[in-house]
Amino acid sequence: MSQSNNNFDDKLNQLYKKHKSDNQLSSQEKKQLIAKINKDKYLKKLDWINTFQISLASVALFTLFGLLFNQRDYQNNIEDTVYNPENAIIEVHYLENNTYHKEIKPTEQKTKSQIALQQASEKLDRSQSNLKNKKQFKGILINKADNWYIESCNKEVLVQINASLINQLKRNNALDNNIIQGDLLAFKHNSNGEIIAMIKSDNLLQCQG
Amino acid sequence: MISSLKEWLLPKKNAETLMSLYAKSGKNELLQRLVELHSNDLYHFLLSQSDIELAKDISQKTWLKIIDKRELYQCRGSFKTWLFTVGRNTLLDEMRKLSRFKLLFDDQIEPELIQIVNLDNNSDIQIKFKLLLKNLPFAQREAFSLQQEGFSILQIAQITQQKEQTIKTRLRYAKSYFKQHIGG
Repeated sequence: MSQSNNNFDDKLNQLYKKHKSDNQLSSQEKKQLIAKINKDKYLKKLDWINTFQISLASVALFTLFGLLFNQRDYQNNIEDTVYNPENAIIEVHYLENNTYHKEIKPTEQKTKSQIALQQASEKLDRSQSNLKNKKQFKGILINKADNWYIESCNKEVLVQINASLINQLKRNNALDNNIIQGDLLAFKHNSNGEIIAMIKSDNLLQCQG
Repeated sequence: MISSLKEWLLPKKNAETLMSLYAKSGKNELLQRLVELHSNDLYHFLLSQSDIELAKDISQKTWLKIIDKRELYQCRGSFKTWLFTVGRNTLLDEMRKLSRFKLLFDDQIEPELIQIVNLDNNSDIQIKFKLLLKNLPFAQREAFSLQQEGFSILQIAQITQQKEQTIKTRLRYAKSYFKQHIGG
């Protein structure tokens, strides 16, 4: 029984081997297979390189766009809003030889025209009378470098406070800590219109009143 | 003389050594030697499970997968077992995609239930064998072909991800089926 089983296994094995030898890849087909594998391998490599290059280029473009956008945004914020306010006059407060000084600086456009200067003076008068009435002046810190720029809530006055005065206010404990750009600030003035304190208005989310 | 010199210069390496070297270096000539060694075995196995076009296509895809996954080869046993595992899985994936796969993994198909057409008219035993092999259920044909390729029951179980007992049953049914028609 076992002998006949072995014989049958051998017979099957012979038949299978013959079937296999009848159904082989020819040497030409083998060469084609190798060539196809190599070609596909090369193409896959190229695909990978292309994908990598495209990804890299996208990241570079995105970064470049981001940088440009940020720079434009920065310029908009600083130059357009701070240095070229269209309808505002600039009030500069500073200390020199322990003496408080206050200057009115019309914008460049307005220096070109006497009319504009006159308008600026009128605005200043109006705002000063407002100050006297209100005793408190509110504005938003729009740029915080050595000198601070604070735009009034009615956008008529841009107050520039020089570093010397900021330091003086700090020494007098008349300046809140942790003031950051965008904060709403309330000013306290004395009877001469000089800034004697600046307080962060936490309870007011936006310019009102 | 020339061939012995060539052998001395390029000593024969088994597939496992070649694959290990290829996995490390990625050298094309090593891959070519592997293709030379096993492309026919793989192609014939795939052919017995599908048709000429699909067998050629899957052969190519299998070798490309071997290239892609060459780093994964380390610590694996027989290269041929790995090659056939990759080849079989690739074939099954392709058959699923082509909806050709009718899930012929029915172990309960006994030899007596397999329909044979015009078998007795063929006096040529080789043609008879070819037809019988073609008519054998997919799972039994797979186990039988793998055994004829020299794989052990354990290796066939690994390649097909089945239990050894299942493989034994499939082989028993396959042999019984052949014996029924060309045995003796």
